[in-house]
Amino acid sequence: MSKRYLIREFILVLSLVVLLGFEKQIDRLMYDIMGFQRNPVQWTSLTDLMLNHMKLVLLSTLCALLITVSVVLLVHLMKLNALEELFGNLAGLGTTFPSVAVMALLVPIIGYGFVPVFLALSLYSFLPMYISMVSGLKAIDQSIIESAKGTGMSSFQLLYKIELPLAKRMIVSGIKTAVIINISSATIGSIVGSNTLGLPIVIGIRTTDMVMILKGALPVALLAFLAESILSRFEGVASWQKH
Amino acid sequence: MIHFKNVSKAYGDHQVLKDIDVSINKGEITVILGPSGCGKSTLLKLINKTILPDEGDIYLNKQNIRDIQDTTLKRSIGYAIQGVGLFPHMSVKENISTVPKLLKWDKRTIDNRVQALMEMMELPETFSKKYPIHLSGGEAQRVGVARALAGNPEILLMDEPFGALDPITRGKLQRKLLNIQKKLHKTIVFVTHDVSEALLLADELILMKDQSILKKDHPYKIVTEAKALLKTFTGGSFAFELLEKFRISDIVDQLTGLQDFDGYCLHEDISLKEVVSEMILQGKSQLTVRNNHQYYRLDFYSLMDLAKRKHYE
Ligand SMILES: Nc1ncnc2c1ncn2[C@@H]1O[C@H](COP(=O)(O)OP(=O)(O)OP(=O)(O)O)[C@@H](O)[C@H]1O
Ligand SMILES: [Mg+2]
Repeated sequence: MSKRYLIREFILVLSLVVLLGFEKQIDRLMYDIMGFQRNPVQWTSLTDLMLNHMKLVLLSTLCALLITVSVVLLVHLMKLNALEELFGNLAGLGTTFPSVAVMALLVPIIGYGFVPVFLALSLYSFLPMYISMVSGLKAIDQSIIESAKGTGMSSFQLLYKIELPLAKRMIVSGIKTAVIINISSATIGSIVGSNTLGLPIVIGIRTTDMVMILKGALPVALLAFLAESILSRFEGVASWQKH
Repeated sequence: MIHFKNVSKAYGDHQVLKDIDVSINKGEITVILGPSGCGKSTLLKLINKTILPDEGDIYLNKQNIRDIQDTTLKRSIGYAIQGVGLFPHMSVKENISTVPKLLKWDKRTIDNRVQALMEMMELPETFSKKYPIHLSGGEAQRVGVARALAGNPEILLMDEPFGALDPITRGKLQRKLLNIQKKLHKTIVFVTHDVSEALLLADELILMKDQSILKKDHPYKIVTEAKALLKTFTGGSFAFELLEKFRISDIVDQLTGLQDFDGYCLHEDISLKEVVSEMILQGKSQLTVRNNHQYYRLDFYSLMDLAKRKHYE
């Protein structure tokens, strides 16, 4: 089970390392030997772009997770049902609004660079995490909650002893969705001046440089697969769920 | 001990309990008997504030439960909910130790307590690591009862705790509950819709129907005085069921022993219901029984009288 994940992750990491570590060699192979057309543009190394990309994804997801957890706990523990519904509707509405539009709207306010992308990504990862957390908590069998309350647990004990463990799978799946959305949305971030793996893609499209596009697209795909695999580990069926 | 004063409860427009006024005695088993949907579980849930009454008050040792902190009240009352409600992500052992952990007992005490309870409920020790999904319905119910007993509460609320058991295990656990009760004298409120179970276990019997309490009395009195009422609950064999409550050893002190006897006798400590069954099989109205190396004669016509005197003891 975990061995399967390990092999997959090993292959993904290896491919990433090869792609980044041998960037110059790959360039030479593609342009000089294979003869793809090169449109020389000065830009940061792929490794730096990837690190920046990951930083953006991690920070925005963490920030959103923090906000989601606080909002959900507040709403849940205080039983603010109206607010819960409001947030749910906003989250649903939000997902229909394209993230690139959010970034574009933020630029005149905050300017180019890291911050507008960070904010847009945080907002977009809040949505799936909030929805999955709330529905994970809601999906718990009421008789379990009732008997837990009957043993005299405080609402806080109820939450961390019963509700969170039982909702864990849904919560993890929400985080997973958020991370994957962020990995791909961070690419768009380069349009508003953030140095992510989207940069070679954008440049590649403008200069019709296939190799350049792939240099951005491949690591993004590998990164998304890697995140998927790592987070799926926490999403597996626990032994108490297996017949 | 537990006192309901003019308690009413409705869910929306649906009145579930109306003007309930009843006392539950300390150290006794009070059985609530009534048809499905009459509000038995609701009555039970009011006691540990799982739900709050719309009107009226409930007192525990003269203290209004509104004034007792929610978690304190619940930890001091064992509650085996209808339909088990085990925590699926916790092992049997973790389930049983829930309340002791909340009460912050030390680990050794908890381990010993869990082991003793599993033994008491006839759950093999190997079960302690099992998860609820791997238990049969009856096993899960027994874990539920063990969990309710774990914190050594003075009050126990049991909502049809033996509902999913086969008759033999059920009978065994009913006896077990009676034995435990002889030693521990808990205040037990036991909900069932099984008349034989109710008559067997009850020190006091509460009959419920349509939102209210029809009658509360000793089972003997209910059987003899509220026949018509009881008949609406079930068939007409309740006197017979009442005799299940008494064993030969319970009533021999009311009999004078025979000087000498040499012949057929019943020598196991069976219930009076089983004695009657034996009489029917043998076509006799008198049988000799042996208890503690003494012989006694049991007469069919005196059985109900023996039950009666036992009750007024
Ligand atoms: N949370 C609830 N919301 C609305 N109605 C409820 C709720 N809980 C119980 N009821 C209703 O109240 C009535 C009494 O329910 P209760 O659970 O006390 O019955 P009961 O006597 O325990 O029945 P059973 O023997 O089937 O367990 C039923 O008609 C039921 O439908
Ligand atoms: Mg019920």
